[in-house]
Amino acid sequence: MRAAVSSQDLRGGIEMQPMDVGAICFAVPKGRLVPGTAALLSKAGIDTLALLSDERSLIRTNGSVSFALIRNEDVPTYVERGAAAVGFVGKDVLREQGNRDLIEYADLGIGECHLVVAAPEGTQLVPDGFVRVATKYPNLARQALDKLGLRYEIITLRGSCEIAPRAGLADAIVDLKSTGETLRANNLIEVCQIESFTATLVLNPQAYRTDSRVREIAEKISAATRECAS
Amino acid sequence: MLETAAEEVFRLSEKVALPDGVRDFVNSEADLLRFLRGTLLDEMRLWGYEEVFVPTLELDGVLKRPSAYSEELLYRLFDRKGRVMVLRPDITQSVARLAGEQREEQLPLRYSYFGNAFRQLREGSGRPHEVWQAGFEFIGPDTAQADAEALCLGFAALERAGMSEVKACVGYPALAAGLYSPMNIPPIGFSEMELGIQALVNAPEQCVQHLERLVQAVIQCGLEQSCIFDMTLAREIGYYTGPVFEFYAAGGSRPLAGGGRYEHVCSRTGRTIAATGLAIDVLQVMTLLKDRESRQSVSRCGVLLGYEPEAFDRAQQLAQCLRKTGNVTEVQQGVKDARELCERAKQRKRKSAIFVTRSGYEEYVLPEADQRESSGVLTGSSGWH
Repeated sequence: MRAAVSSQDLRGGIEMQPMDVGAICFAVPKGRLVPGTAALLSKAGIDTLALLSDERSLIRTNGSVSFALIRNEDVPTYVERGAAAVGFVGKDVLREQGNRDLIEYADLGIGECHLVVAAPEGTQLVPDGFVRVATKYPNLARQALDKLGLRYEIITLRGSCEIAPRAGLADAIVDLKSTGETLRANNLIEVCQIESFTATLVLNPQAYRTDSRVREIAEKISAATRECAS
Repeated sequence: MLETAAEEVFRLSEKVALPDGVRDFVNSEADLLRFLRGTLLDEMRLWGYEEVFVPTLELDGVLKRPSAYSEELLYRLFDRKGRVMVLRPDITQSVARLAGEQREEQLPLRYSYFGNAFRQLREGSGRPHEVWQAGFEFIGPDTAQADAEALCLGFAALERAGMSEVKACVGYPALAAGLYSPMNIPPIGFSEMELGIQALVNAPEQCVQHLERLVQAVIQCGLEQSCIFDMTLAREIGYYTGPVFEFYAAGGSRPLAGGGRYEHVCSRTGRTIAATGLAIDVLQVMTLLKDRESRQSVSRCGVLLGYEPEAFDRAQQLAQCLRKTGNVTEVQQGVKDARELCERAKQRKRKSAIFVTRSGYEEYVLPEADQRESSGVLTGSSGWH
């Protein structure tokens, strides 16, 4: 065992071997964000054929890049731990999860959505009243409800919060709204908007600092974003 | 009453359950941990750092305010007097407290340490709550040269522990705070830092000067090719006042070590002392070493000694002789014959088996997995000398 770590392993001189070897992995959330992400990536000169294919495999390699199609909420974990060097994730997820060791490189300006408080028509959300609130975002919801001066109980759900008031589980919800159609379909009315979020480009810090390919890709993607905006 | 298998498993799991985020280290992992402890501390000793031992528990007030760690990370408990105690979240703060208690004439102090620290992380973070750290603190000077020494020793220690292509990233939170957008400055290698420093308009003069001197010192140590400056680096721990560091190695994806410059206010005298230091995340280093080790066969070592029931005294004498000459000697009770002893020795990864009888002994040298030649610890193959 000792032989494995002898002085022969020491770096010979100041000449460094580049750390950039192997494919660069992109963590991309399944669903809503895929088309926008693919458009940005191809503008940045990255082949996205594998990303858009109908393949069932959720990790798809294409030469020097690979794509991991995962849940939105898992993107920070993949990138923080270096399983993916580059990730696309909604700012809502980053804000909800709080302190992560990630580089938030650029706002991508795509996938805009709004965090709102919504309730069935006629519900009175008055200060000092008590409400049961169903949400996928307990931390963001708490901040918002505190600001509104409500007394509340949070019911954390994994999804489909919209049906919670109809099912009698909650009096109101805190959820994302992009077009408002789902709210209407479930007889909910937006009480107030808390915050708006877009997708963000996140990078693994070690990859950003030691792999020049990651920096180049990040710069190209953010340039493509600026191009779209102008 | 008969227990179903499921009930038994449940009963056992209740009994052997551990708190969240802690674990045991046995066999090859324990070897690795001990090896890293020895190697890392020895390198620090070569640089003049003296090993210190500090308590695992500290009074709540010892932790730096404003809080260095978010409150929910801390394990807190009460003593019998009702005082709040903290299970140390790192070792730096205890060492700084210790240094603050020394007389001023004794500065500079160079202290090294090895130990565990505790942080309650979010569930499912996949990171241990009990971390093992090997580190050092250079207390007294507030110069950039002292920071450069911390960087150099970081490289030396990690490389001695077998890490390859080690790179260090330097950040400067106090400097970044004065800039509009740190994101506009990409990471720069230390060899091109002249340009980088020019880009730091509007930054506090004092910080820029310190950084310039640090770059010079690192260049003079010949390490500029391995160092990167990055504005986005601000360590999780909030008490740093000067440059901060993180170390990375090929094959890893999380930092292997972190540290930087801070100030310690001694609670007794109120005097402020400057310090710089680094803590190596030993488990992170271990993960990288293990990846490599698993591709190599573990070589056998030591002796397993067995004996006939009547030869207990002879076996004990021989074992003592072997130990005195530096051989790991484990005495195995109750083996029937040499064949059984050899089987046991193989399982225990021992290099040889010695079976002691009333009239003499027999040594069996076990072949290495890779068919390398090896020789026994005793010269002859049998007979008393």
